[in-house]
This record gives sequence, C-alpha cells and structure tokens, in this order.
Amino acid sequence: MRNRLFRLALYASLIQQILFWTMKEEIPKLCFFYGVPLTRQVTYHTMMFGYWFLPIFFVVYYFSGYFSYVDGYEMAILIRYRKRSTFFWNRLCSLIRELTILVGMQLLIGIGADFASLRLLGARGGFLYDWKLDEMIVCLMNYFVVMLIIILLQNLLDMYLESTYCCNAMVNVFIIISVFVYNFHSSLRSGIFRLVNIAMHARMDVQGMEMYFCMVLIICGMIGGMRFRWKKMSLLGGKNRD
Amino acid sequence: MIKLEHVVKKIKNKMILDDINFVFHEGRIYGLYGINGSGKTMILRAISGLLLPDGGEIWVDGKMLGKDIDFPESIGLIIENMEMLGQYDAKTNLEIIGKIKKVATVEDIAYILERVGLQQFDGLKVKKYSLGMKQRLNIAQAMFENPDCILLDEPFNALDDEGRRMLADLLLEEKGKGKTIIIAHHYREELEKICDEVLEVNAGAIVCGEGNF
Repeated sequence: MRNRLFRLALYASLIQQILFWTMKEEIPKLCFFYGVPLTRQVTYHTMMFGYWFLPIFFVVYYFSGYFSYVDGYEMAILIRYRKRSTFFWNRLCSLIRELTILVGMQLLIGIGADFASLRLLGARGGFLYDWKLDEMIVCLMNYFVVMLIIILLQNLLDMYLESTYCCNAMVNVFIIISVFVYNFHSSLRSGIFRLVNIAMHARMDVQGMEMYFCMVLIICGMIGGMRFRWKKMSLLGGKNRD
Repeated sequence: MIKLEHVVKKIKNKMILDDINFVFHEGRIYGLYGINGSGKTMILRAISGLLLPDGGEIWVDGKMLGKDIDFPESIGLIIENMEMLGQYDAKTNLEIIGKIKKVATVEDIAYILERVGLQQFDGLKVKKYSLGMKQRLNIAQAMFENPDCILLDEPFNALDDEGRRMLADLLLEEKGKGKTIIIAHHYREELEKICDEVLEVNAGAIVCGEGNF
C-alpha cells in the first residue's frame, strides 16, 4: 500500500512537470523548487498553485498516519525497545530519509523535464540553460524544510485527530485557504499582510537567518508536541488510539 | 510476577478496563476468556505497556509500568494481526527483530523454528505462507528470545490439530521454566486443558479468579 502511494507521489510529480510545460508563459527553472512566479494575474497564478500543490496532496497522503498508525508487527518491534521514545526517534529518522528520497526523485524528474524541454522543445531558459549550484542548494534546502513542516504539521494533527480529518485539514483547508489568502493579499497590494504562500517564488526572497531560525523553531516545536503525545498515547492497533 | 492494582481505562466514555486488581504469578499459565469486546485483549495491551491506564498501577517484576519502565523488560507478545515482512523467510524475520534486543542467538532461532514446525520451510518467503504457518511464525516471534512473560492473544487461531498440540506442549514447557503465561481466548474448554487458572473477563473486569484481591 505504502509503495503504491510512494509511486503515486512520483507520478504526480511527473504530471506536474507536464502541466508546467503546457503553460504558455515563461516558467522559472525547476518551478516546483523555486516556486510559482509572482504575477498580477490571479487566474494564472491560481492555476500555477494548483499545479505546484499537485504532488503535495499525494505526499501528504503518503505520510498520513506515519506516527499514529501502529500495526501488530510494529507493536512487536515497539515492545522490544526499552523506551517509547526510541521508537519515535527511529520513525522520525525514517520519515526524513523517505522525504529526502522523494525530494531527490522530484529533483531528478525536474532535471529530466528540463533536459527534455531544452533538447526537444528548444527552450531558451530553464535550469540546465543557466544553472547555479549555490542557488539550487538554497532552493533545495528551502523546499525540503517547507515539505518537512507540512508533513510534521499533518502528523501532529494526526496524533490528536482522525487521520482522514487531518488529510482533509491539510489538503482542503490549509492548501486551498493559503491560495485564497495569497490572492487576497496580492489584491490588496499593500505591505500590511506579509503573508507568503509556501508555493510562491517570493518565499525565496524572505529567506535569511531569521527565516531559517523561525522554521527550525517551528520544526522543533512540532517534534516536541508529537513526542509529548507519543509518550501519552495508548496504541490500540491500526489507526485506533485513545 | 505481574500485579495490576486498580487499573482503570476509559476510551471515548466507554469503560474498557474497570478497576482490575489481580496478581499473575511465575510458573503458571493463565487463561482469559470472555465474549468479543469484553476486554481480554485490552488487559494484555495494558500489561505489555501499549495501553496506558487512566488510573491504577501495573507492576512487572517489581517495576512500575509508565514510571520505572515503558515496556516490560522481558516480554513475548502476540497481538493483532502480526504480519511479518513478506519479502523475507521466517529465519530472516526473526533475525531482524532479534537485532533490537540482541539476546537471541542463531541457535535460539533455529530451535524455536523447529519447535513450531517451520524449519522445513527454510528459504520460503513469508508472503507465500498459509494462515496457519503465519500463526506459527507469530508464536516463534513471541518466544524466540526466551522472555519471562508471554502474552498471547488468540494464539490458537488458524492452527490445525497438530499445531494446537504443538502450542500446548510448548506452553507447558515454558511454564516449567518458571515463566508467566497469559492467554486470551474465546473458548473456555480449550483453555482449561492447559491453564492453571481460567479467568472470566466481562465488561473490562476480571469477574472470577484466585488472584483477585
């Protein structure tokens, strides 16, 4: 089941690249890393947001119940650890490892698509046309951290609510509202609301030590919350818990 | 020795464990029987540290669960549908699990696989096992590390007559080594054949048993 979901997330990344190709306007290189460009056309960037978020839906489903779903085999593993927290940290490490693989595969798909557009479509731009390694590493880190925050937030909710509600909360509420918030913000064109949608290219402009410090704080806070809940959670098999 | 003192657990306003007071002694086999949803499995979960009670204390070999230890230090458990890793054979599965505690030797694994009758299927992937063979592997998983306390939830499920006899012999042998064994099962008659004491569980409480206090 999990393998199938993993493959689905990769197919979604592939479809995302194809959808980016269909855009007539110039799109930035490795759009899913760099984010959706800022425009004044609401329809254009809403559509771009939709494309950008497409693999995220599947990634969110893939990591759904990562901590709260414990089957019989995992119970047999769990009781052999001296402490509950050992199992938690092991799970966290494997979550980060799997996310790294997913992002790596997305990167390969992106570079492959870029190569194809350069060779097959004769594009005059794109990552392979004028790539900068330092810029790419920053983008990659940024993207990875943003993904990690989304997944940790979902799993934190997952430990308190039903998995289905959490996926819905992440996909239908968080993602869709964030697009509307951005549209609302851009329509105001004022600096009062400094809300930056995670999908848009502008997140690259707000990076800096403060931004990373803030992100690290958020991640630590969420991991702390999850660990606290894990220590107090009864594991009743499957998705069931108290 | 396992001691449950005023153990209470409520989930979604339903009383799952209702003031359980009981002592399980070493060298004895205890059977828990009762209707579906009576709380047999929940008692096993509470003893294994998977279920955290709202009130009361659980002591295993003088250590309090949730305070001194998170899980009993020496425990074997069958609970839920324990699907092992299908891409490996039985021996590899036990070796993988054994790497956590590092107490079982290669000889221990070979011995238990022989006892449960899986030695002849060496090399066969678990995904090709029948239900009965999977259950035998679960039994092996619970016992290969030679734990002091063995908790088995419906261990007779999917076993043929020969398998049931094998399990009964194995449990009696483990009892002889001074282990505490608790079995949850639907049928009292089957439990009475091997258990020193059969306890009736009803609505989250042990309603009869010598160990009640």
